[in-house]
Amino acid sequence: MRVSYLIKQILYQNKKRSSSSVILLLCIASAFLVFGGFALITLNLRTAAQKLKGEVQIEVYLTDQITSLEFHALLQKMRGFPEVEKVTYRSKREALTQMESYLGEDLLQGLDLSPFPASFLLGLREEHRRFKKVARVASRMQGEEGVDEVVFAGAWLKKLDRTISKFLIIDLVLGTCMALAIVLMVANLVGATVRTKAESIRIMSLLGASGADISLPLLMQGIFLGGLGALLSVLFLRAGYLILTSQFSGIEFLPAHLLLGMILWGMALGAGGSLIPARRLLRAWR
Amino acid sequence: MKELSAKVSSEDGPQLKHKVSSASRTHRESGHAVPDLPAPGDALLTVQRVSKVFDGKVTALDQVSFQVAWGEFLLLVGPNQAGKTTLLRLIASEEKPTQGAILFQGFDSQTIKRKEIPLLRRKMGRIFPDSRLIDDLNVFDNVALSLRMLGRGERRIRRRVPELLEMVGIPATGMRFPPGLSSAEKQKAAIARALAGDPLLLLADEPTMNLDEESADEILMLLREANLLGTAVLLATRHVRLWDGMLPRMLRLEKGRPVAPELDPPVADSDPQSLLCCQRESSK
Repeated sequence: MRVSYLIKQILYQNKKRSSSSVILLLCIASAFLVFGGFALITLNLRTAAQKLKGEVQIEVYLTDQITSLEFHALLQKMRGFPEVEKVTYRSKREALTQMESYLGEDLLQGLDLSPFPASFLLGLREEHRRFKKVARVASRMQGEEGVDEVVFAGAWLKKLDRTISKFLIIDLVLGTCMALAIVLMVANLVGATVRTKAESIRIMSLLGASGADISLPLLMQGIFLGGLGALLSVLFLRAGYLILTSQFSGIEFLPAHLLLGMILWGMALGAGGSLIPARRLLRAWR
Repeated sequence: MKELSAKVSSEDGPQLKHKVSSASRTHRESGHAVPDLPAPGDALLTVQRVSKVFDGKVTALDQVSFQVAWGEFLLLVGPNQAGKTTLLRLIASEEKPTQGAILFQGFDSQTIKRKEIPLLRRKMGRIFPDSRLIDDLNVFDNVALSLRMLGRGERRIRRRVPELLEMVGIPATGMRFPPGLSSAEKQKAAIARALAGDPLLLLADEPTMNLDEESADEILMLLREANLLGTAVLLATRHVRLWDGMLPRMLRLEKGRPVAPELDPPVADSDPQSLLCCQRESSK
């Protein structure tokens, strides 16, 4: 059958069952909207976290007795870590100056010698700025000759990682539930179409319609509804995003490939949903 | 009705233009290539000792054998429960024979694969007692259905369907839906649909059952016209009286058994106009 005829049939079927089709479209759009909303929150959270994590560094405090040999061996070792992007040395004097800038000069006035230890500041590559990886690097430095203490902002990094993971799990669970719901909703509507068209389908088969002739329009109907529902949700999301950005700045919108992925995913779910009654029909037909 | 053959387009049915003396020689396109023209009298359909038993108890057909030649008109007569419909269903591969074989265009009922059944059915036109038009589709789309299944283009369909509707005498019904048609109009639309795919064989099951005598005559004339244009017709009917005065070959079934397999001589040499004359007279 020609594509133009199939499209005509799909539009006719949806027009005929317009109220069911509109309800289904809104349900699909709502499901994708909830999913897209959470994806949007996760995306912005991750972006914010990446910015914060850019400031994550490991501070390796050195003993006052560190020898030149130990110092260079330590530096060499740290530069050899694949996770480490940058190594900065902070002398005792620099540490004092930095502390003065935090606490004010008055408090530390009169100190001739800096009471603060010298240290190395290790900046990590972006892909390694996660709690477990940072802790692993820190533990490797612990106990090295010339190292007094290794410190990093573990607690908040752990919390941040956990929050992002939670959102990802929510996205995943939500995405799975949504996918199942859409498949069942489409299966239900296409199933209803099959039931009302049982006699027509029977006649078509008697006239020589193949399995593809019969199941293709059903499949296309599912693809159409799933794709259109997802497209609607993208439009709603965009509208919501525009309203939000008029109030708050710095919010990121979902990237184009993710939006396209949502529409394709909607079409795939629609196809999956319509395959259920189509397969049932073809089995019964056999 | 006289103008029937003149109205058939040359593009969609070049073979319909030949008014060959022996219709059995007609080569039909039907969406597939047939390498050689069949010789006169060649079998288009062969039914070999076919039996059908339902649920192991009810014998619907018992050892039925016959052949339909290319372009032949065969009358399948018998009372209710004679097995006529079952036989047509077996020929269209709706059911498998319990015994025996049905051979049609290289398809064998015993070995045919499921995916081949649509291909077999596309070479046949079906006419049912209740027309079986799809109520959701208008007459145009009902008739176009066979063409769409054959993958014909929409432009071609838009040209061909009105020709078919004109041919069966209901040119103005294209946009109407079946529930709004009379029984005769529905049956005419069903004939147009059956002929749309240029079938090699037309299986007509009691096409006049629900019609008054005048409409029944019109339907039978259309079938005869289709036959004159080269399509073999297997007509199952109880109303033998409608056929008085003509000479189609006849197969009579009673309780699933052929009572007298070759009651009448083959129709090949008979005057093809005899039915038309007869029907026109009877309809007056």
